[in-house]
Amino acid sequence: MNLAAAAAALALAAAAPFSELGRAAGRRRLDHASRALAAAAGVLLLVAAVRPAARPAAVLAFVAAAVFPRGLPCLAAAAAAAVAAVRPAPEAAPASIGAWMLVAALALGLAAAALQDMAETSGSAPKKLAAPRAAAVSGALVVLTLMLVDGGHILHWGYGLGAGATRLELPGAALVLGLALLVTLAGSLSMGAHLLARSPDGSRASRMGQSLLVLGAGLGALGVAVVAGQGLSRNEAALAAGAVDVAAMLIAVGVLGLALIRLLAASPAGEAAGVRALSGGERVLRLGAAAAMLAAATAGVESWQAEGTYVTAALAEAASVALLGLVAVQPTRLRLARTALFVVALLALLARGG
Amino acid sequence: MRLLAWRGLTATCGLLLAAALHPALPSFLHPPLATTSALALLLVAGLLAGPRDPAGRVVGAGALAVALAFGYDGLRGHRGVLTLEMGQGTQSFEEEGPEGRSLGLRPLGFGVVLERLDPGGAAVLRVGEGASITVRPGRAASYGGFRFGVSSGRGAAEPSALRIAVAGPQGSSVVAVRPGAPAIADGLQIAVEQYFPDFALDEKQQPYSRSSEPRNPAALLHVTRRDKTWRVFVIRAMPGIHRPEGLDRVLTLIDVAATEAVTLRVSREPAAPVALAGMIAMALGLAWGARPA
Repeated sequence: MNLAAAAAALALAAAAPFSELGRAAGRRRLDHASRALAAAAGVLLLVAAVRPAARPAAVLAFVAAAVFPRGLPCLAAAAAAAVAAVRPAPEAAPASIGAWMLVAALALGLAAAALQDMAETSGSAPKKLAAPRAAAVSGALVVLTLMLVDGGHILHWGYGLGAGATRLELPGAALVLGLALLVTLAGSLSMGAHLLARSPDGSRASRMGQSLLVLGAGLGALGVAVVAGQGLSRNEAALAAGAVDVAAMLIAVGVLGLALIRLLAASPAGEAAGVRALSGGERVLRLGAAAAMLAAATAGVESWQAEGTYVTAALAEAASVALLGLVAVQPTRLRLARTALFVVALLALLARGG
Repeated sequence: MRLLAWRGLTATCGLLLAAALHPALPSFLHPPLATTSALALLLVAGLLAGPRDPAGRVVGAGALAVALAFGYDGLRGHRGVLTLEMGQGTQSFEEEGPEGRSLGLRPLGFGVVLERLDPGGAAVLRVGEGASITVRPGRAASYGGFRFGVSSGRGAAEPSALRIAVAGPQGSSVVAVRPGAPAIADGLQIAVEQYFPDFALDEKQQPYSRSSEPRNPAALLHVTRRDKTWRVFVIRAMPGIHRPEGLDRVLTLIDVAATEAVTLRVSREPAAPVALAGMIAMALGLAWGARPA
């Protein structure tokens, strides 16, 4: 394991709630601490830059230090740093540095900040329902992620890292993650019932959903920690093979954690206290889409130099994601859904490349 | 015109085009080329007709340049593959169509000879009137308007002939068997059914290959003598481990010989710089639109 990348992952995982708490409580000091943690993590990741996943993680960390809100960019950076921590550098040096992945990471950081901003400011629902809605959607994201990781084995109360002869079965982690799935599902459904019924604040469904989601987030975080701990102690190669799954769970549980901080905060004091440093998710999103287009152009140049043609899978995937960025900035309906799709596509692009 | 300017249509076309282009889309869901082209044209028309601001117009102009460049290279450009063994020469390559269909041989306009293969995977080619170019994995080279590159996923030196020893009452002989090309030795026809460069068993005791490097080579052979057939498993680390009933010969995998050949991607894409300029214009237009009003 690379200690610098692991330390960076922990710093970024801490920076995300610091940012949210700073906004919720209106404390600039917490927000500055979050920014400093992200910047320090970026420097640590530069030390580990020999590992392929560390380079886009470093870009994400520096973007997270610069943008606002930075909760979601910090989580994406933490996930990439976790992958860098456990995945060793390839024996043979790659032919190109993969500059397009770095530009794609820049796009992801910007788009994630824009998505978080839009999720908090847009929507047709009344403003007081925005936080419960975000919590319910985040819970559904955790459920979906837990259903998809490791080929859906959690649905059969199993979880393992890697495949083939080197696969490492983790029955204890499977139990915790399975429980997290059930509890979060119940919490999301309960919160969804509260939203659909438009019941008053503090209704039984709302209170129950909130409690279950807090429990689900805790169990999910515990599950991720158990997977990482057991993987490190028993078979680091298997953990490296299953690193993307662990990173996906880290992001999903982190997103739920951020939504719960917002839900539990009494009032959005942060904005009143002037913590909001950068406004306009729309503008940041356009910059993210521009970066994604630039990443596609860079992928084309690198493919042409390396393989003699720009018609490669790398360009096709980068161009596909750039088109989603173009779709996201169109002034029409379903803006939040289109932005979320853009962010997910960027995450998938980096996961496949890293 | 009003329909083309409707941003909902632009977003829908972009979404569908993004899905059609994505390499992770299962092959049975891939739309025909005509549909993809129509979506691209609609998207470009929407991007040109929709925006009223200069930034939006730059994005539209960039999209038009990209579409024209891709279209020109699709119609007038050439892409294909070229496989050369050591010392072999050719003046043409196997051209591939937009969906990977073979279009037959296309002349290069000059000769290409594979002079040598370096240990690092680099192929040294003698081209034209005696000029020499080196194509390395990850570094393509140009000559005569064509780009030559080692395709990712295809190593420069390709395997493989399996050297099989056949031992019987009359003594033993060695035969080289290539995948897809059965060989005959000691009255037996031997074909490769399955090859595992780095043999291992998974937790269900099913064979698989840990890597593509021939670290622990093994193979399942299909052996025929007149009307009788056997399936024989051979592994270099354990000679003669499998002796099927009724076969009075012992088959042993001695080694795996890599053939000294290289497969190159050959491309002529004259509009590539226009496509690049178009993409940069789109990025600039998007960034310009992000400036504060």
